[in-house]
Amino acid sequence: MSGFSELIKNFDKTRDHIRDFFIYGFKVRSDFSRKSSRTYDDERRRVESWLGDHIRYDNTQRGRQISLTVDSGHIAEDPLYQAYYAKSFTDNDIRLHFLLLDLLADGKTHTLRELTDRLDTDYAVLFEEQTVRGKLREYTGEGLVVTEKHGKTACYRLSADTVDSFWEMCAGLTDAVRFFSEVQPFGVVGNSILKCIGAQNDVFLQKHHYIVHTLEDETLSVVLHAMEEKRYLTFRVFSSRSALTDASGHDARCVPLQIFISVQTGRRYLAGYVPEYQQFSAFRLDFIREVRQAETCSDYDRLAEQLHRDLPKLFGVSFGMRDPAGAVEPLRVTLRIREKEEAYVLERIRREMRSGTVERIGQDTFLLKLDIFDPKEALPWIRTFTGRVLSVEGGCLSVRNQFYEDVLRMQALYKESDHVDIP
Amino acid sequence: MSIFHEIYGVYYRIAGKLLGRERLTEQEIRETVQKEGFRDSVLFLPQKLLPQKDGSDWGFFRRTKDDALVPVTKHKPPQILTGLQKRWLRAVLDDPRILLFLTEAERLALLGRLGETKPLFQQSQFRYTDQFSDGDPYEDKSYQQIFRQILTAIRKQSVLAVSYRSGRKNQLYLHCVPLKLEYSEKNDKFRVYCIELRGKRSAGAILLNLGRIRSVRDTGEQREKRLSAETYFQKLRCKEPAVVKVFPERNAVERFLMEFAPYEKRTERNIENGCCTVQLWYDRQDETELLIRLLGFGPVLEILGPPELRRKAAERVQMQCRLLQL
Repeated sequence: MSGFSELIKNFDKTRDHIRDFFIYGFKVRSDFSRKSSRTYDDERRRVESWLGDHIRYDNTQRGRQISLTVDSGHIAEDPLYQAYYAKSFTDNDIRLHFLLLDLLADGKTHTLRELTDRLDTDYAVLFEEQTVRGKLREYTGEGLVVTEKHGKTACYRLSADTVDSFWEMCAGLTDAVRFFSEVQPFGVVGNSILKCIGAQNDVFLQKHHYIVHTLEDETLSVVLHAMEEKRYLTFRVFSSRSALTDASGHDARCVPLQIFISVQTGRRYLAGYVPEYQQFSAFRLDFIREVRQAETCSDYDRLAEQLHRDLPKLFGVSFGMRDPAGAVEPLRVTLRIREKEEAYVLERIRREMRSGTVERIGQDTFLLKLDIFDPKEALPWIRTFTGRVLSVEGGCLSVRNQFYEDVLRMQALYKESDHVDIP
Repeated sequence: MSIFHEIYGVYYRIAGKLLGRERLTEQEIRETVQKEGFRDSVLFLPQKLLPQKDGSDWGFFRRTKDDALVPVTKHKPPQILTGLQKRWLRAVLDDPRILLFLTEAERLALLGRLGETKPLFQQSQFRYTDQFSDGDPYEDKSYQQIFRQILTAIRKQSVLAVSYRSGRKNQLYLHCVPLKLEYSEKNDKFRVYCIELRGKRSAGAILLNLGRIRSVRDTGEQREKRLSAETYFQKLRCKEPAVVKVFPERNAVERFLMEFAPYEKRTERNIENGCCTVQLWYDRQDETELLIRLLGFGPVLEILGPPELRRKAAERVQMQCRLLQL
């Protein structure tokens, strides 16, 4: 028992463990090689304590595997928010929090000396002025306390922005917060408001809900701030989730321009201009660490404009096979769709189509023309039309070959249509 | 300014709640910790809240002669919106969906109240690369009105008379009790989970796209028997999970597990060949969507079962081969 705390000081370590339990779910104790086994045991126990209802244990040949299993479409609240509510603190932090707020709750302005004295007289706790000043300064930054100068003396009062003062303005605000608290990014902030007013989301569900995105909110916050201030970013990039160790990453620097979100694959990217390679690139948000703001970029607006011009030719996030003139041969996919009976397929194409056009070229025959930088990115989408593709042309040879080879491989996979051994 | 700050933490929340009470018992403190805290909080928190002889507690409560506990503070802990929470609220007020909950006048009043507060994020900082283009019309007054009527009906368990245009463009009239509102970021649409009624009897679960609802009328009746969401969704569940094998090439395991993270699933990896076998539980109505997403992985994923799902995949693959004369 001694030495273990369910609270944490550093979010990064815990984030990696939660992600491993949640996304992968197949790892056993020996797979967690980043730190010592004791660290693993502590992290596991914390996750069990915060998210007990969602933990699943399975005994496999490799050992006992622990996973976080959540049907994200049918939950009221993202359970991973719990990790944010587990920040450690000192006894003095919490004492000062409630006692100072109690003194300031009279709505009046107080000097530092006055507050320090009254902590002693009213509650019999002794604090040095320096400690109290530090906490008041911190709370001014957090927006709980307002600091005013009266002559040369700093005076403190409670912020007038009480929850009630906002909530009495409109009845629908609670439902709005219920809904947006499950919308990323930063839904956890909305959730913290719900907790404050003692409310819960009991109405809204989110389909295609990537609850794990909340774990990147801290990183995202730095990125967005750099974008707002038009600054460079430095960070470490890792090639895959399974190798998030200090040794495998490399340093990178870019001008952050936009966050690209794939709502279908759950992948999110930082899109930016990389001066080293003089080109745009996209970095997986969950594969970057140690994100820091750097100097201001004087060319920011021009780069942002350039990116904006390139967006129509981006199928997903890859600037891949673009030639210097910005021209690539469009990928042409011909589909067979029975117009009368399968109008819903055409509707689907129209709402899912991007960077391209759809044209009727004959009875029950339609041509999709995708004018995109990286035709390879469109392959997974094209494969969702398996059973309808008459031909794939244009783009580039490797993509066309891959499509046809993949169909052959799938034919081999599904040759035995009914009987397979399920492990 | 970070959400990972103790002022938002569970321990502060519990302490604040208890300090808001005038008088309470040791039992009530323990019960609150049990109910509101993490699973193991009962091992750590009560001894900090309850007065200890050695003074190791936080000094928030003193015992009375009749062994009750009263807070040493004089006021209920004030509830202040922090700068971060205000910035989040400010950002949300720029989202077109906010008008489903607030009138424009209310939105403007809140914007005025927030004054110079900078939004925590801006919509223009994000690009949704593959969101469907036919999202719901959040700024349409009629849509907003229907959304609010449904929200009210969910709270009251009211029976609604709904005029609805089906996916096949048929006009339907039905009576139903709405249960939950579901939003999909991929579809950029709201849907309503309902229980359809024929007379007084339940005719089963029905899912309506909010954008296809023409009108809604509250019949003034209420459904007396409440159905738990858990029971409702259990009925929509697949009988058997889909079982798929994901091959390690093209980083498919990582891509698959990320893409299917929203599903309840069980995974197992074969250490020798790197393949991953996954059981996925899904709602029956989503089977076609699931099938085409699985086929999108191509030959790096094989649907093993159930047989019916595998047969549908095989049919599409065979049809594809015929079209290409392979």
